[in-house]
Amino acid sequence: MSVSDKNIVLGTREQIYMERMAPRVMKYAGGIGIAALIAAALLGLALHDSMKQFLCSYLTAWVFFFALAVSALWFVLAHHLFKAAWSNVVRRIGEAVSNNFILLAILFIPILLGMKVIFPWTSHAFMMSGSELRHKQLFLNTPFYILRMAIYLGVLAAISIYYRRMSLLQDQDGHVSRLMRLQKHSGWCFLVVCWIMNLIGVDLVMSLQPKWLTYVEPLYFATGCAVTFFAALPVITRCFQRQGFLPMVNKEHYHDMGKWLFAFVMFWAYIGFAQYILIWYGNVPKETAFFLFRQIGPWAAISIALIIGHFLIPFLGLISRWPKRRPGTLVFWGVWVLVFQYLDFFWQIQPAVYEQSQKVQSAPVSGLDPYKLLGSADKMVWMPLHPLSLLISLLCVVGVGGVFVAHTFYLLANKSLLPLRDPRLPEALAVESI
Amino acid sequence: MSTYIPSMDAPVEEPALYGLLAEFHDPQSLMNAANVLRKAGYYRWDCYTPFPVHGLDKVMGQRPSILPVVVFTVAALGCIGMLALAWYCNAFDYPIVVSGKPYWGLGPHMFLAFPVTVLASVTTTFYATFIFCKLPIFRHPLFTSERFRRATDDGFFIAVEARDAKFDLKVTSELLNSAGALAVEEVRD
Repeated sequence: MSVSDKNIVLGTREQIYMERMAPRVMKYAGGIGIAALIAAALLGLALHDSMKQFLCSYLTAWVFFFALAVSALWFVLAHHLFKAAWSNVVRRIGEAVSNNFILLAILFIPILLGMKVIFPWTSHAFMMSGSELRHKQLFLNTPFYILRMAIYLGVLAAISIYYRRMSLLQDQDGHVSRLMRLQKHSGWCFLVVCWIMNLIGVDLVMSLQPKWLTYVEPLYFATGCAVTFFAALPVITRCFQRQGFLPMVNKEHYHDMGKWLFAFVMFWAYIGFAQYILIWYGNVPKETAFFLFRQIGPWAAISIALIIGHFLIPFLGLISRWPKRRPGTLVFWGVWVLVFQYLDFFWQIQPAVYEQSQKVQSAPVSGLDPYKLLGSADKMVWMPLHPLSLLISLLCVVGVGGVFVAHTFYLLANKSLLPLRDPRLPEALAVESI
Repeated sequence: MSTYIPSMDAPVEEPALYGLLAEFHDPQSLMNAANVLRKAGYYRWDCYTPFPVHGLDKVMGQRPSILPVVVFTVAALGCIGMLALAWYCNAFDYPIVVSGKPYWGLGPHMFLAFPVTVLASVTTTFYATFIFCKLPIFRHPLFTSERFRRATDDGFFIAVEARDAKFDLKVTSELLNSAGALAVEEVRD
């Protein structure tokens, strides 16, 4: 122990090392996850739609857990960038959750195998059907897509592994220079992670509708990603506390987590509104294509539900001081926002996958009437809302989530839940929020 | 530790007594003294420190401010009011077609409602803080004390006002001394 932390009480060894719990969670979460993925794949086969619904659900689930990992990395980098103290008590959770990029890269293989089913730009004939698409082929082609994904996930994995390893090494040797190095590199790493969060949104969501043009969607995707971990953090911390870990996390720390969550709920609404209003004002067909399907029928209900459930209700629920300082209410809002964030990704991805087979994609730009197009003939765009499709989506979340949780606990096992020799740990334990 | 001795030969035209000023050595002793004062039932007193001392408001027994409620109410009224004004002007009283858009839409009018909400909350925060803090005050009796200047540097002070119901020159000064004050002095207006 260094000199600075001689006055603090860190609790017993059982409270900061997950020695017995982690293997159990790994076994159950991993087992349930793999079973759920197999069940989802079998259901997908039973639908006889060349696995379209399964891939679509799987992509949504993958994006949700990618968002969790990338925002955890964002949180770790922000901690170093701001030289924050309070977040030391939950930093190890962020480091463990952010170290899942290699797992996510492996889990991306099914999407690559089924690219031709869900990404319309994989078809050469489709890309030759319009002049604006012909130019986009420079960017949207299979080899470059795979290369891009490899670079994005590789860079994210490298940064997250570096930040976790340095932090764990500091536990052993106690060199402050390690922390200084992490702080020094946090600036450009933060910038790179933010770029990747934006750019990967183009590949994962926008490229499902290659004709669609917008300037805000990458940022909207990145903001949605950033919400995820700040909603999950109080939930994870509370779960650990219920199992007897991290007793030193108190309401001051929950208050700070609540502030992050509140800020990102607001920012999500701000960016979502910015995108909608730009497209509404411009009223250009290739921009409005995104909202056409999403303001008719059940998709319109989901759009409205997002405004109310992802912004208005949590805004009113989190604006006061007391809900953020009570772990119970904060966990409630964390789960609430997580559900609506999943719904947000669902709403971005799933109608887009079915839209490509619709007339809108090939219809001439003038005289486009979505109400007429959707009114009677094509019911395909409602497919994701079919009970069987919803079941596949749920199984995919459980599946990818189970594997993700198992790997996270593998990383947490036998490692301290606190950065024991961080010079700002005493400050973190004594923090007071205003 | 000095003890306070009331002066027996007070001048005839002495200024009114504002209260007692007690200096403390460090934040911890200030907190202890604040705890003693609160338990003794004093109401009109305040602490002065060179930097924010965490937990002091709790020890002093201060209730949460109603400022957030006031700000939220005015901000909500500002938002609704601006939307109502925009609707009245653009959609009801004098509708004009602008680039083929409908007269009324919640989206574009949010552009007006959002800054007005922000402006309403900011100005309400600013002026309500002034009113709740009874500002502006152009002079304060405590500034007559030479010792009090250290409140912006390294001094920790408690001032108990004479208009407090429980205030008694002798009893209060003894209480402050027993609570660990380095020095207690009278402050006159």
